[in-house]
Amino acid sequence: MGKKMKDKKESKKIRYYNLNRLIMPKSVAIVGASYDADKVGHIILRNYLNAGFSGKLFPVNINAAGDMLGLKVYKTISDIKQKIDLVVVATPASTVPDIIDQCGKANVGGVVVISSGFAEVGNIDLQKQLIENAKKYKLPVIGPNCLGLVDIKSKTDTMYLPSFKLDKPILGDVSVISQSGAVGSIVLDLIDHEGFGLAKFISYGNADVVDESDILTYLANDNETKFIIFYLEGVKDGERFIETVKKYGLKKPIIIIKAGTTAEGATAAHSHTAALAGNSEVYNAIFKQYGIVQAEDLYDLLYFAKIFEMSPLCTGNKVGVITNGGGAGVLMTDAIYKNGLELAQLSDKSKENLRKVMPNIVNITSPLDIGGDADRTRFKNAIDAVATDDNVDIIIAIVLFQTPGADSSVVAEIVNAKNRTNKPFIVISIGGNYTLAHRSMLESANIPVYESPMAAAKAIKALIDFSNAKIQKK
Amino acid sequence: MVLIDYDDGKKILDKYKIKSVPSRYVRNVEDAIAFADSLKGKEMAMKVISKNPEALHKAKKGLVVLNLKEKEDIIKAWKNLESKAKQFMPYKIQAQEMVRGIEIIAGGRIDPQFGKIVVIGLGGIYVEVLKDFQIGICPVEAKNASMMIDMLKSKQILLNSIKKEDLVRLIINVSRMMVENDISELDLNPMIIHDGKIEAVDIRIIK
Repeated sequence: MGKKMKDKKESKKIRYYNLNRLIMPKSVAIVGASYDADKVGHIILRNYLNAGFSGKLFPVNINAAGDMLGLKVYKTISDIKQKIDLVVVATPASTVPDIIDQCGKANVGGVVVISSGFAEVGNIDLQKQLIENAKKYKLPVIGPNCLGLVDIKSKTDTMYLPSFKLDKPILGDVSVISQSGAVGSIVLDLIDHEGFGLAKFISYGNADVVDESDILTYLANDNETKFIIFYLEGVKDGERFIETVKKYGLKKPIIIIKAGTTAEGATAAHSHTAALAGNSEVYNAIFKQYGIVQAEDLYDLLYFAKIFEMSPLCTGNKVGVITNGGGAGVLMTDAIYKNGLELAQLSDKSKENLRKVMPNIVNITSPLDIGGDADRTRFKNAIDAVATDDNVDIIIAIVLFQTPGADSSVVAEIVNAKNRTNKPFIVISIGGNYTLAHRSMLESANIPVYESPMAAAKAIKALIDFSNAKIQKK
Repeated sequence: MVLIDYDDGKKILDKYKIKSVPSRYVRNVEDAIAFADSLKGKEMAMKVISKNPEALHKAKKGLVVLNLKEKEDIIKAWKNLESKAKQFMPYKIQAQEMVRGIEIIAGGRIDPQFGKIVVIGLGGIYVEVLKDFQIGICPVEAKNASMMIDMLKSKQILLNSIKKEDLVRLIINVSRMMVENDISELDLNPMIIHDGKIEAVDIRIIK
């Protein structure tokens, strides 16, 4: 116990909350930059050049011999003798502690260690040296064993994935933190398809120096980050994590996916309480208590992100549904109630107004089925009535584009209607290429589109839960 | 791992206004009968209390006798308990007022990674089967406690018998008790909701 307490105090000494130089660098050195086009160091350098990074680039290679991709190559960090904000290290693990020391001496802004081969494969001594050298200079080090950073605005990108294999997101206001490089890159790859952009991406690997609490704190205070997506396997420092989420959990939405469970809690149990409250149960409790939005799988993560990106916060749970397909309306109703939401009942006044403008075949009820032959006018009239009804907190329009009347003119009406309301407005559209084309029109107008009623209802629930927690805290 | 004596545990509970059912150790059968008389017609339970780990699951080992009222039943129960308790020396016999109601569990522990937590849930024999419980991270505030209760599947069953604010207060008190004391594990299982109050029947505190 004594030793453990001491270790904890040690880890509390240095906190790395200002990561600006590291994450938004104006000068980048790449250690391990290679002449060999297949090497990680080469790909990183090339990616910087391809992205049009406007700052200074310093390739570093101990066997430097002539220019590399048109840039002067340095043998070591110490040889550069200019201000360096970010050093990316992609050399064998055994060389890393010494490079960290050089970085400390050169007063660089921070280091990203891409290299693996540390504690994750049992090289504890090498890990210790890395940590000691970083601490000596209070040097923020991300990694090792990670993909590192992407900052769209400063065009920094330390990922060694060939750029043609990954859809690079556009500039947006979502930041992604990932303990795993692989999962992080999947999220990155898919963000664009879900219709939103990226602010910052941080894959932090072993978290030996800069840990999850440092990164969360940084992003919670980053003006360019509106909300955070977080893939977590396990936190490095539990007590600091609690302090951090207590302070920032409700400042911005943090959508988390927690992978991995351990039986640590259960094995040491001498009581019912201890047997029940194992590690994964405690994680769940932390997330609930501090307003962190928990996603169950990767798709949830993206679906939740989409609604947080495109909708205002909302505490009411009454959903007004307009549909041009009866069956889809029934499925939507089921999904609404399964997620603790309610179908909004329209006011008498709205019903009266609707009766005047809807044909006789339309039954004025909830969900409002406006018929398979609904055209732009019918959509407009229906949406206007539902959106302005005080009994409605959230609007869902189910648009099945397979029907004769649903085309881009309906999209135009929906976009206009969305701009007239300040309630969350969600569209559900399921279908092939024709539908997909219209879906991307809607999403470029900041309307979240879902393919399934269940996915939409879960996302709405997440939005409402966060909104309620945030309002209660005030 | 040190298990705190029931009476010492009760003192800690008293300090945090967590109620427990009337009980005391009885030295002999006459003492047990005297305790039963003091209950004025209410039934009594007797249990063997021993630190022997084998004696932890009292009901399974036949170390509990319930529904005692008549003198001759108490005498019979005493003999029965004494014979079964021999293998768990040293032991004490505890007499307790019997209460019936809805069983809940309240507890706490120190999570190796995140520190002190509290647990509230449906208790007694249902704990392990239904696993209907919620965890709070200490210190738990009223708002969190209320949310924990809202998330219990058995919420309505509990709230038919007790006011929500009483459950909220219980959770906050357990949280304070965990925070202010050197306790590694706490089990109040069961606590019984009856006659508009919540009382601990079993107290298990591990330092």
